[in-house]
Amino acid sequence: MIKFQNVSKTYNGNVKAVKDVSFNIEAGEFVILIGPSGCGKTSLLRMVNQLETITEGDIVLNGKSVRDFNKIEMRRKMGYVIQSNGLFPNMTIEDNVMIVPNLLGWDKVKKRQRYQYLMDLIGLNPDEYKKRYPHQLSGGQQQRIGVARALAADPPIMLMDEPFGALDPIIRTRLQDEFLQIQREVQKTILFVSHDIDEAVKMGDKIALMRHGELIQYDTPANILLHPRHEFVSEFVGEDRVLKSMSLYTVKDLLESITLDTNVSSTQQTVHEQTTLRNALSVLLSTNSQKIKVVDIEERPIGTLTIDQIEQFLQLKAGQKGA
Amino acid sequence: MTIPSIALLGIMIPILSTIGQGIGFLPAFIALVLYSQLPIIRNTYAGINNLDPNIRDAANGIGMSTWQRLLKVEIPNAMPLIMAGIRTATVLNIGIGAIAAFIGAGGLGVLINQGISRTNSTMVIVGAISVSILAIVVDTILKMIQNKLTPIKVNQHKEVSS
Repeated sequence: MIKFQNVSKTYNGNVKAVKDVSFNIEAGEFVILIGPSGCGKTSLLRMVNQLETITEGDIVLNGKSVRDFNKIEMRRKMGYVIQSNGLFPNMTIEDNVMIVPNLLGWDKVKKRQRYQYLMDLIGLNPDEYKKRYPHQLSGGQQQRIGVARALAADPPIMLMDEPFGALDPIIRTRLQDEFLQIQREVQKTILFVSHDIDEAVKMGDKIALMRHGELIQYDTPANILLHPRHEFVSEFVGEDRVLKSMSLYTVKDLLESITLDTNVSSTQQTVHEQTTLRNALSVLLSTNSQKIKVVDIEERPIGTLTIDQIEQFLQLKAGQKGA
Repeated sequence: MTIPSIALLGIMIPILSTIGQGIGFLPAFIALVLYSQLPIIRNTYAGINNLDPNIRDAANGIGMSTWQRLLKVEIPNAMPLIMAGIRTATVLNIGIGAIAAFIGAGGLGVLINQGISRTNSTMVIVGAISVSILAIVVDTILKMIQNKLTPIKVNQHKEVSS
């Protein structure tokens, strides 16, 4: 759907912000652009909707170069969310959310329905917030409105530049979860800039890791964590990369390849099968017992899990390429 | 604005005399227009220039044209500063308007002018107070218009919770 073909960006004739980056994004994929400050991730994002010009190479959207589109019309078909939400202080929440439909000249009924739908989607009361102004909202609420505004005209593509970067950790985690929920419903193609590897692993279908304007590795989170292709990748994801990779799997995933001991006793600590392995390990480490009980959604016991079995599973995953 | 108003009025006498309008309403009018330019244009420029770059970026990013950005985002957000410029210009012009009485443009300045030449201090005070009241009243009216145009109160309390 979006093809980056040898994209380069040079500022002022000599500062190379992006160097020869090529990769493809499929429809419906959630791709995270990540890297240290100044790695060119934001420049790359801004070249997609032509807020920055492409110096060399091309970005192709459904077979057509972004340079050949009418900029204004193209941007209205791409949701755009930025870190500092960029809400218009002079407009009410309703006007902010409905700005793109207004530009596109939607009729009143359609706009009203869309507003109701979007506010429900982001979990804010449509009538309560309708006439309020952005400064009357908390940072988390403003950012939700920013997301709703980007989704307003139902664009197939979303460009998000560190949308949750300025929020405190608790609100950030909540918004990440909410956004994953929203994505499950709306199924957009998303290009998402982040500098937080935990966020990338949690949110992305694919991660594009950049440094000094170059694309170092473009891969699934599991492969980035377990099969770093470059020293910089392992350095960037950190020494706890195995621990991080455990958030990618649930106990249920483990059950597919490892059989548990079905001999359960009622006194053991319990985890649900949807628990991530990381949390399951944490529970294991915090109990005196060597084993924890695994139960399914209806609280029926499945078996007991040990640290050794988790280790076995991770070795199995590290062994297979392209997990 | 750096030229003293009395000097500007003086300079215009020989220039406008060529069309027979050296003194009276026309030179006063031209002077007032010239003096109102600086505060209005400077404040409008500053207001638009000081807009948070993220907001401009968002306006571009969601697909506004330059005109839409100017009319829907930049001017409304610069409104407090634009109005402040208009208020400054208006009050300034009321003061200069009084001086224009010296070139025969009439108005409340006439009272001050005649009061000085007749050493009638009551007349001077009446003229001066009238000019002041006019300035205060007009400024207050403009402030009310400004409040109507800008529904956002900058210092309003932020409501807490997410």
